[in-house]
Amino acid sequence: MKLELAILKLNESQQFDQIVFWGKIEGISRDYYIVVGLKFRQQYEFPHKTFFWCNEEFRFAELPPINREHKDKVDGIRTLFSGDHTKVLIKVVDEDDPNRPPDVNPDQQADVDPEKKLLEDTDDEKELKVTPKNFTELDRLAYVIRAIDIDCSVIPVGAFRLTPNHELRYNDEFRGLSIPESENLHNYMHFRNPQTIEKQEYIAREEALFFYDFLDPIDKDLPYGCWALHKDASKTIATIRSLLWPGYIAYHRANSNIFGGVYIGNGIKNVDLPFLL
Amino acid sequence: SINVDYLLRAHRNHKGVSLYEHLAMVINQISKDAKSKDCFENFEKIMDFVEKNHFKYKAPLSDHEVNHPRKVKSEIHEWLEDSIAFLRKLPPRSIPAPPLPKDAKYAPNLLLESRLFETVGIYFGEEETYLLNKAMLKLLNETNAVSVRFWGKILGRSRSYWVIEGQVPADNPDPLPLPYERFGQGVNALTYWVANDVQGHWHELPAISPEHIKRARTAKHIMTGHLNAKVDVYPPFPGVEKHYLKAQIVRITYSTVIAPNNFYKANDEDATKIEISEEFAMPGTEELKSLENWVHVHPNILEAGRITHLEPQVGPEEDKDEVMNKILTADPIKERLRPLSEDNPFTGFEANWLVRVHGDTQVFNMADKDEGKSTTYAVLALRPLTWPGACVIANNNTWSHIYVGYGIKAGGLPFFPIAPNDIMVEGVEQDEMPEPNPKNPLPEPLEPNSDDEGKKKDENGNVIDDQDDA
Repeated sequence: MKLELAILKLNESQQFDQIVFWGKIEGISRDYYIVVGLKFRQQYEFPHKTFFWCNEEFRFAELPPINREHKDKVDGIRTLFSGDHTKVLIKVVDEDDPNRPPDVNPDQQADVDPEKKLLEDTDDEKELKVTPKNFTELDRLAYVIRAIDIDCSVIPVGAFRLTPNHELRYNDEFRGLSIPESENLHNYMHFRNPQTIEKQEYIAREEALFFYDFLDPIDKDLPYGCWALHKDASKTIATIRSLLWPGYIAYHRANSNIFGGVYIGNGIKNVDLPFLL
Repeated sequence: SINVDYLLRAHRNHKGVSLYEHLAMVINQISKDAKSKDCFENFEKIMDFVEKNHFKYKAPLSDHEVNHPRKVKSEIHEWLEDSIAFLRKLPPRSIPAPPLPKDAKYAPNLLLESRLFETVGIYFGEEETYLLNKAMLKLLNETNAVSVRFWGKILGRSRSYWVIEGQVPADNPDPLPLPYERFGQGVNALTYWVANDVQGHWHELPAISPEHIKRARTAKHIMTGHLNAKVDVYPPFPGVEKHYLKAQIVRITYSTVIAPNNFYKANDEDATKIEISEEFAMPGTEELKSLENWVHVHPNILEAGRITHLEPQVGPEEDKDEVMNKILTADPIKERLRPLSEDNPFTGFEANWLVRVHGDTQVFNMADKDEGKSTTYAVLALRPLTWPGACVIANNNTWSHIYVGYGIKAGGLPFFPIAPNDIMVEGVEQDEMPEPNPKNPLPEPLEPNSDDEGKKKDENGNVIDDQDDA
């Protein structure tokens, strides 16, 4: 209930077309709840997504943009999230920082001096250098959430359509996939800016207005077999699970316009996947 | 060549008019209008006109058809029938019930326990939980099981497995070949039933051998959901998916089933057996948060893949005890009921288990008969880090286990496949020699005749004399 109230409060302060509960990233001591605000109108080709996060106190804050510097190291971090968003994961040592703590090892003292001499030569470059920021857990959260969103976010074909202004809109006529159609992975697409050249050309050629499959389908994702589609016993509900990001589930009820997806997990990518299949 | 006639008759529009008929009618219409000179310019209009104004007579439904429409089976018909059959009252037992020991047949009330798991975040929905409860009761009714418990769910690629664990009394089981541990003992002590659909058929998993456990340790594999599927790993797994599934289930159970301290005590006579101790008071949530107050219930699985070591086969010179001692030092049997705080900590953490409190942590004072004590309604969740997906929940009355996951052990390090063995060097190839036959002695190799140098020789070195025409 607190989550609902917090989401409504968020809606008051910012104007979004739709606010969706994106999921939850579980940490050791606390969990992070993530919601995403979508703005469809006046956006060319794809709605703008703004992510908000909060912990169990339910005060939402906007997720910071990705810290490009440490982007490559994030994939190597395979430990759980601790729950403390200020926790520093990669400490950046600033060489120009006068407050830098001296090297603890006395054997290395001799090495410090020649280093300092070099630094003095680069004095004029000091002002241009941007102070590198420590990489905190919040930055890792920002990266992981966006990575999950790009890799997952599954919707059935026909749920959205492109208007002549190239805006993405919900398709009011969507009646749902039929029971046999919902068993086929080809009928599901990624809810993201199309990344395959094929689909981008499709949109550029203006054909996407008349067809519904103008976004990337999920059955071409590598590694092949990374999506597990399950039907429930009555065969009407299809759930698609991602094996690459364990914890992401998308669902769709056949012959209805009920669909959605959510991520509830620990935010660790399953990089061993090619060996497991 | 394309059969135009066939093509035209084959294409039909949604009213059932074929292209052939349509063209015929258009031409008919034009011929009626022969005097007009605009036939060509108005061709499209004529076509449109003909299409819209065509009347096809369809006989109305007869009386019989309207009053008794044919029943069309809906797509979920089969599932409906199955569900209704599943939920019927259970029939009386078909096989005689096993004699009840002191603790009679037991199946937990899943609906109550699932409320506790819901607080932690593991919930299958009310409907599914009720169906699971019903399936457990059915298993008790139809098999020799003495007690059952819901073990959990193993997710797979195309289907998932629901798993129920049960205790079946092991008098006179079929003998299994030697490295296997006897049914009812060791790794085969508990029986597991799996099903893809809760309402469907529950299959009993077979007994497994130590080899299965050893190979399951190196194999990292996501199951497909089909019991007889091949497990495609290197080094190769000696069995199909049902053996791998059973091995993983046994490993998970033996590592993660725990109990509060003092619930079990070691049997006075045999230190390897345990029994429920009479004086036991459930500790409060505060005490349960500390890992020292929890102990492992099951014995550890040895490196050899069994619980107890096999009697070693010794040669006449070796002393049996000495060999046994060597095996034991390499592969020790750990003490039963060892506390969780002694587990090897997971890389980067202090312990192997994560403890978290969920729910309302307000401390209340107890009323009436428990006056003076305090309790909370919070639920404690303990999760092992080596087996992500397993969860033990405890509150001030009871505790319970569950597993929901892919059945993969967490390592911390990324998976490196094991390199195959070095390719053996090929042996030295020996020259071919003709077969010695005492009846036809080999012609001794003649010294090459200097006369023969320019002449052709066949494979044995004999000169081919092709000048011989006789």
